[in-house]
Amino acid sequence: MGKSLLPEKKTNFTAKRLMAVLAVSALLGLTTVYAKAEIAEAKSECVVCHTDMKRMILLSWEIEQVRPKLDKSAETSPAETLGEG
Amino acid sequence: MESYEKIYVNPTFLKTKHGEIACEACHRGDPKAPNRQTAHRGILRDPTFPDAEKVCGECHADIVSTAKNSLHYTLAPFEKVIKIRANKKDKGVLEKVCRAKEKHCSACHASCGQCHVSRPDYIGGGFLAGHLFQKKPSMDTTCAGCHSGRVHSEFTGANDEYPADVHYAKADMTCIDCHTGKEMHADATNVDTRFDLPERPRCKKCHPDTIFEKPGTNPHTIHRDKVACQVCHAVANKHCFNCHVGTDKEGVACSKSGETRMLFKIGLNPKKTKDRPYNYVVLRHPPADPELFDFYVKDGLSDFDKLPTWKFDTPHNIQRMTPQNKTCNNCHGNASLFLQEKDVTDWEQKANAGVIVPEAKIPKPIVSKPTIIHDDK
Repeated sequence: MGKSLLPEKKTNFTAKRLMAVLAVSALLGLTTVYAKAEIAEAKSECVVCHTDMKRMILLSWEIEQVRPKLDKSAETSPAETLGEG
Repeated sequence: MESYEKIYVNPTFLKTKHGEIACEACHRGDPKAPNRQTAHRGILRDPTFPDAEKVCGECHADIVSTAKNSLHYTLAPFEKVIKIRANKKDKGVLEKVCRAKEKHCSACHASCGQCHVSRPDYIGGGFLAGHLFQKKPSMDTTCAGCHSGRVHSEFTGANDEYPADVHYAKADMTCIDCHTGKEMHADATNVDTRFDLPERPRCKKCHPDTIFEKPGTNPHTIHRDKVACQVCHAVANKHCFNCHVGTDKEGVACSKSGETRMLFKIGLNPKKTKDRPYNYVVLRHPPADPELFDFYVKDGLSDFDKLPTWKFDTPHNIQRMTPQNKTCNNCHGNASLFLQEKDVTDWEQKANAGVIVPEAKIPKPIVSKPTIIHDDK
């Protein structure tokens, strides 16, 4: 009888640990989602886009197709592009 | 810098004090708008210019109260110099000169944000570190953004054959070690040039023993109050001789400068003060030109010769030993070091009469050489 109890005990322990890990993961997941929503709400929605590198890259490509990047005039002397000071 | 890097906000910024402030509180716009276009309507790219008080002033009132009148913020000496040189007889011409000045010269200002958050507008802006505020701006990105044509190149030894400044090469110093926040934020309302600012750097702050009492034959004691430190300790620096501004075929502002030369010229001190009593100082020819604004208006700077075109300067390439201080007679009697009439073009003679060194004022060669005691500093 003692022999048959031992594996059962082990199973119970593993199951409890699994449950705990799942619970913590769910809690963490929820916290992250909540935190993101909180940032968006408290810090305004600007940061949703401006903190997303991938989105910024795609947006900048999109904008540059319509309005190309304006560099210094090609007619400016090379020395002047460095700044006079 | 790529466009996305210029506007990407590092999420760490949101955990900082400045990150607690809602974006629209400084930048305006409408964060609740349904799309990007409407959200950015009325957006302020740099909310710290032209009115720093509204945003920065709320928490940093003491700094902003003077910084809003600082040299970097207002470029006030530019306006003073251009007005002295401008054609004041014709009001229409003067107005065109002022507009050209605004379009070109005034575009170089630096606001609070352009030093502490982004790169200067002059080099196209863009966050320094994902909108994280930088208490001490970086020399290579911020200062060099505008001052790389001359000062940064001199200081870091980027000019071929000329060594880097000893403060950079040996002591790892950067701009802000001398040009402190106190100087950067100082009120410059009644200041004619940057050299008149009371908060400017002074050699004696770090080298008091060198400047003050020493044995009678020490070169510092002999020359003290007679020559500026740079006369003995700077080497050749970059001189420009003209600059013309205008717009290109696409309407983009452009500027064209002529030749640049590496020269070392000593001249008479154009403005002796209690603080700067020297007879001799180092001079530099900036890209000054009476035809600077000809693209916009002819004869706009008809009073150009009211001010010298060889100007007092403090080159940023300080060395302990220089070609002119190796021996007494490397300088004494060496006329080529001094600005003479022959170095100055005809139209500039009158303007520079006060700084050209006449033959009689070129120090005579030393016949009996005194014992020179070099200190360790």
